[in-house]
Amino acid sequence: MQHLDEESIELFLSGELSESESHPIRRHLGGCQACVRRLEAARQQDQEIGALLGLLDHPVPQVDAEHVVRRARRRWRRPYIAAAGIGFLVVAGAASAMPGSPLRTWLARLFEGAQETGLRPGAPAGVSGGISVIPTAQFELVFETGQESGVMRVTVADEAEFAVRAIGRPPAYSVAPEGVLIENAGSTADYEIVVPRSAESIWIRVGDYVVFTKQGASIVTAATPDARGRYVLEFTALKPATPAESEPPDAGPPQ
Amino acid sequence: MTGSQPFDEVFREEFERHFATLYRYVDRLSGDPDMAADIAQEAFIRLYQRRALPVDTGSWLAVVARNLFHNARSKSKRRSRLLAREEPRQLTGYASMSPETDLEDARRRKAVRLALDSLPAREREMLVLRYEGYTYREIAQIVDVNPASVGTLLVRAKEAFRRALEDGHDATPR
Repeated sequence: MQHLDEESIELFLSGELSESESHPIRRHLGGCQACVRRLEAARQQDQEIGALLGLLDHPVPQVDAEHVVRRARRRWRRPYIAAAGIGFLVVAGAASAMPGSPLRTWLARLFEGAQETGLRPGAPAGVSGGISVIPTAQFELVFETGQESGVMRVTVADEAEFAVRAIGRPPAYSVAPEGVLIENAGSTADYEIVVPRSAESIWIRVGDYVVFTKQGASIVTAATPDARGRYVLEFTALKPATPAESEPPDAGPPQ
Repeated sequence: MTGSQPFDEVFREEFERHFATLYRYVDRLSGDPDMAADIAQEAFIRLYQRRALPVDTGSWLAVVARNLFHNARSKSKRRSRLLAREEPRQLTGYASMSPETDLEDARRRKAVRLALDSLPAREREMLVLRYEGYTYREIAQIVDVNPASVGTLLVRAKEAFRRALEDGHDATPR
């Protein structure tokens, strides 16, 4: 075997070689003092570089995971309409969907459906609200908390947009690149939800409790589809395994 | 992440596992502990908002932090300001022994900083990652190079670092 090259020595020192890969190197080192010396020099250089880079270190700040969680949650609550890379539409009422949007047709269809099935429309169109977004590869709809009444009806449809519409007093929606948060504390609204059939990964949670998932074509939920193919989930029937935590007072610095 | 384990719980575990490493990576790269703390926290905020763990959490966090660092650096010409700010700082593990020791430490740190900053960006990043304990596979993923070339590139980076130190001031640890 020829003398070890620099890369072989680097790989050997890194400890990333498998036993079969390092065996010929060990065998060579057993009979070549020149390479043993080069290996030792490289090992020493490794230690020196490690120590030199250590000179640059500053103390790791004492940051609590809870502080980061609070910051992340605060950001969830901050609605930002100009979310990069996300189609975004806020609907203040069924009639206000943008002309030409698939949502317009869908909302109209849903509203008809609600009346047909006796779904509590809650109020005229003016107090219904919805949101429609193009879902990212992993997308999540999060209800901040459970409700004393109300249902969510989930329809998997050949639509491009993920849409949710509240029927009743409209909650506040926040949109982040990978999901929608519904601030529904105190709400008794019903929700019509459309999940695009083409969506790769959709999760619907109430607090920390996952109530519906769609991974590819696979749907997991406690509900079975009704005659219209909708998965109907009643809030009062949900028993969160881990209720959503209440928001602790913010002790962190402003962002 | 186990099937029924709430994400918040998983997140806290991952935070404890990766925060210090991520902070040191950005700190060594930037020379700015404040920026490093901000970027490390921002990377974890994005992980939290993701609500699901990536395949390799350590690499994913490092990629996010690296992108944030490059964005921050390209927005402002912070590097020279950071270097100027570096000198008066007291560093971890080097408690003040005497004014002479402080001065010598500051001189050595500055030499290391200058040598590291003189490397091409990719070599600098690979060197920092390697000595922060990232595996070859992780390094390849983070700096977006062919895994098979990591060893060669690291040899080159170490040699460039050694030359840069020689060209500057001697900073060999004593």
